Amino acid sequence: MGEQKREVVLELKGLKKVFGETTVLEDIDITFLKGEFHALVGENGAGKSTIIKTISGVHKPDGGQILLYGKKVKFNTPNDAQRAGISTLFQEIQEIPEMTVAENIFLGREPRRSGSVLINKKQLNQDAERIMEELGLSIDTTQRMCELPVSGRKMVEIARAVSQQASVVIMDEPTANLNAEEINALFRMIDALKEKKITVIYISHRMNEVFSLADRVTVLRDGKKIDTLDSNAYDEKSLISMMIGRELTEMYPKRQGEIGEVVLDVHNFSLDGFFQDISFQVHAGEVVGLAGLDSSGATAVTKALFGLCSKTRGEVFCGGRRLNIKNPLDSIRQKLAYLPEDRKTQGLFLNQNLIFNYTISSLWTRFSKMGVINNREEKERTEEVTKALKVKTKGLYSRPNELSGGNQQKVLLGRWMLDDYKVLILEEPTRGVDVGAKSEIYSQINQLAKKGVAVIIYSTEMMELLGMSDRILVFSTGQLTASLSKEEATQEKIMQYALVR
Amino acid sequence: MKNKNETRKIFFQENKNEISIAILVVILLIVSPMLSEFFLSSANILNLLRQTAYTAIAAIGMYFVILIGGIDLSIGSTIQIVGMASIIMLNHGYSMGITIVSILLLSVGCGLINGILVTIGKLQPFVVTLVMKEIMAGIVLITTGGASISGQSIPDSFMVIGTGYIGIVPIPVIIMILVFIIAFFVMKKMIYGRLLFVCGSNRRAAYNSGVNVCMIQISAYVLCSLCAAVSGLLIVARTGAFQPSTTGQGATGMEMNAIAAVVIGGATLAGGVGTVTGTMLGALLYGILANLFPLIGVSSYLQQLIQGLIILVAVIISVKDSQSIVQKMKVRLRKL
Repeated sequence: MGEQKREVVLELKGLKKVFGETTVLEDIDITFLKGEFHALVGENGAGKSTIIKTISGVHKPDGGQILLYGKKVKFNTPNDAQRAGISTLFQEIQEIPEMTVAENIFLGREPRRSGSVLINKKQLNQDAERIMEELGLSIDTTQRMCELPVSGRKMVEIARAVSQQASVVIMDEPTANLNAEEINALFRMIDALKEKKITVIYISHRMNEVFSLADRVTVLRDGKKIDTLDSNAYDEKSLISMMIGRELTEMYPKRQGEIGEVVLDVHNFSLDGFFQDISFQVHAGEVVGLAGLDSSGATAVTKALFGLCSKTRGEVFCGGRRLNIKNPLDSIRQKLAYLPEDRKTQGLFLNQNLIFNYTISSLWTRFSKMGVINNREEKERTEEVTKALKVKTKGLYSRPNELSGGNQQKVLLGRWMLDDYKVLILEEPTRGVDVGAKSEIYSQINQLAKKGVAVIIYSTEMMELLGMSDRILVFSTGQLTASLSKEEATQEKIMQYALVR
Repeated sequence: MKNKNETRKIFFQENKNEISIAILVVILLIVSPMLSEFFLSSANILNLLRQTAYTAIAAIGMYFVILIGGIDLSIGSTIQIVGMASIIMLNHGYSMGITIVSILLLSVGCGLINGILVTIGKLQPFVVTLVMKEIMAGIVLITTGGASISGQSIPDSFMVIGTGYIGIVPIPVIIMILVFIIAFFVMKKMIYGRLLFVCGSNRRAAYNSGVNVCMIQISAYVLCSLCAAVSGLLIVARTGAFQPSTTGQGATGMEMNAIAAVVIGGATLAGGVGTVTGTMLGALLYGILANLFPLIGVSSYLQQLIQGLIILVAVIISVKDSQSIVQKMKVRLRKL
């Protein structure tokens, strides 16, 4: 494509951004063309989010220029950027839950009754419906936002961006919480945007999305631009090695080690409204993947196993003993470990030091006598784990909110390396984690498996399941529909069973 | 050697809050005698320490509750009810031991009600404890008819707790130091202290990590009530009589003093942040100011205003939430 001269919409020249003493962006030059899909890729902390926050007026640049249609612009707030035609979908959803879908779409620019300050509700709803139709979405615009699932809310956010007559739409990890169907709907919307000659700037950790959609890709590393490539000038391997600055020989390292006897034995496990009569076994040293679309019950199974949902039926045996688990405390006592899907809200203590975060679950068994903590041993062991996991940190007294996503996830995984657990249940172990940290986490999971831990992984990232699991259990509408061995499992097969009704 | 430097650096970083309050206290101690010649008189210093002891003990209890992200507005009334009950019991001829034990049990009961309503009833701690304050104050007024109860034949051994000395140190001050040492040890070395921190930091994550969040939360309210009861016993043992609804005994308004000490000590009302040492220093700072104001002729009306402002400033300083306008203004100020 690059041959014909295409109009440049947005241009960054020598962009620089400094936080405190660290330079997060240095000398960034990127041009964005009219109507192109331009992906920004790089590890966490490479500067992708900072770039879009600078473009959209959240941050002010400390050097360099932003040119919109050749004219230098300066945005003080995201609203300024929006008025100039740059709409941004941030990672965190920004809507107002108590208001309706239509009200959210037109927030701040509601149609008025002629000559008054009153909002023209009828017009508002009609306009909103028209936009939904244009985008091929079937969302009731009079519904309140809080009644929609996360994915629905994200769609509404996109609808809002589109309705703002933007010439540039920026998306930061828009597919993070969406299932396959919703992702497809999103991609259809992106196609529609491209047809309207709207430029899309896109950040994603999901390489397959970048590959199938991007016209051009800009690779960032450590706050510097490495290169901008046309879609025919790269493949997965070369892109990843550019991102991490080294050849990634094996994303999913091979596991060595024997699969032992049955550790976890689940019999007719049921939770009304979520899953029915699930039976499966996990062996020592085995990694079992759970696959399924949203509300298939796969993630409900992991939560129920750990005691986060009450009133399950059926039986679970661990190492031959019948488990009676009512809450996470029981589970941990029975040597079950659990890595929740959202580390920030469900796992970490963001304002407590790393030691607190590491040892919280093993204080009673490993680091205390009669309720008195052995601080020295605690410090030594956590130091070892930090080293083993290669956590990038200033020291044990830093807080998780000073760490990048990948390092936060490592700390959370480290919590379960301080005691001997029999079963490790992982939900989305690498969500929002950069490539380097990903492979580190995978190899640590493998090491735990090698030690004889039975590992269960729930993930929406298909490649991860295929790469990591010895066996994949596929769920659909609360039923276990298939158990595929590593050799049998393919993306198509999993999809096929996930859709069975 | 390098290791030692590193440790020292970490110590300063981790305790910079406490160190800065300690410096403030020292400055106040240097400046105060210049402002008033009475300040350093032994009578005044003893009085200052004694007053600080009442606040500090209650504040340490309040610290536990604030640390888990709650608040207890009922401790002033707890102190009142404790004072009343102990005088009534002693007047009826119960022995001192039985009186003290039953008073402490009574306060545990009050704390349990607070804790259970907040934790299992899932009610706002603010509302629950405010209502408890009203109810307990009501009970006191009904029982006494609003009149004071004078102590008849209060045993001397009881009065010693409030008025006695060991060496030159008043017993309430010694009890304060004991409470502080115990609380310090619990927060630094015991699992229980660790659990308080993590529950205040992220309840859901604490639950997922195998912490019995409900028990921890209830226990914090019980400890708070218990500390208030100790403070109340010391207050009533000073005079050997009980007067309902007086500020003279420092009971009403005690919750505000205790909260002030905790917040000045660097804790945040959102929970998960703050130390016992900070609370202790906060109580001391607050006590010195409260002692100094009348000496230098600040009227009690103005005093209240100033104390309110001090708490406001402490709250503003402790804000860390980046969404808060206060925090944004602070960041902007720092850039200037």
